[in-house]
Amino acid sequence: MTPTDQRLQAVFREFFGDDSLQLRDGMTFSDIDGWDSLAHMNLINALEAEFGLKFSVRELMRMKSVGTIRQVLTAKASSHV
Amino acid sequence: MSDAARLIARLRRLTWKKVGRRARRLFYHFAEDRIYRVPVEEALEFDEVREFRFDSWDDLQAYVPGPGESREALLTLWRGRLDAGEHVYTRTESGRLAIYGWMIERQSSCFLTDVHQRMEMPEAPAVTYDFFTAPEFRNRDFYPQLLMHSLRHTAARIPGLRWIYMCVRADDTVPRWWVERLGAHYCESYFYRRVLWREEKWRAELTA
Repeated sequence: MTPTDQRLQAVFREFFGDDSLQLRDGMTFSDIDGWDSLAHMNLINALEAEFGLKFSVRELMRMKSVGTIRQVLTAKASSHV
Repeated sequence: MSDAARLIARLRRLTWKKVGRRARRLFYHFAEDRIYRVPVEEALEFDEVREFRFDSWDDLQAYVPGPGESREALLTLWRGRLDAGEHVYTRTESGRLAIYGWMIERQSSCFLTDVHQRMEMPEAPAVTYDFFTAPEFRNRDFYPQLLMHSLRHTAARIPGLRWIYMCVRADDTVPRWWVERLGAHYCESYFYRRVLWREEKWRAELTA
């Protein structure tokens, strides 16, 4: 697990209040209890605060699963190095 | 569905939380309508989404009403809007209307029902309003897709247009977030407050 993955998992665990949550790329709204559009909006805000980034609209439209969130985060983090 | 059956269906959906909220509203009510606008040149940068259709009566007829809703009343309202020259963007999934949003090509003033105030708009801009996603199609980003699609399509469609306006309830959290993330420019807010029978209405520019 990369440092980005670890931080992503930590954000999800804290956000959804589940310390045992194990993220998988295929996970979507229907796989995590409480992950609805309002929670998604707040999750994006939490990720932006944690990683110090601002997602573009195109990126936001892609971020519909754990896998796509991880891809966008990884690409964005590497472009900021 | 008869009026009695509709009333019974509405009563069945009542929860103590809803009853409490309605009781509180008898004594106190507050609303803020936030006005945003997008310049045409920025709207033209959004993508069109081919799944959305324009002025499709067939799509509107695919609406499946929620409990207690009158399909006939909605179709009558929508028919009236189309006959008055308004436009609608729609998307269907599996033969059901998933989302719709309305657009008026040129409007110089409108009445904001939430805040009981009339808003005047300079230069008669286009206005998008009344976006709705059917509950079973939520969490699929249809709303931001439709917002961008309608802005792009409207900007490309109307010659000489400079602005497209939209109104969002301040407490309508997710649509407000998307409107702001899309870069819509905040213009002003209209407020309404009622304490018992005493009403206040005001408007302010550039509140946080």
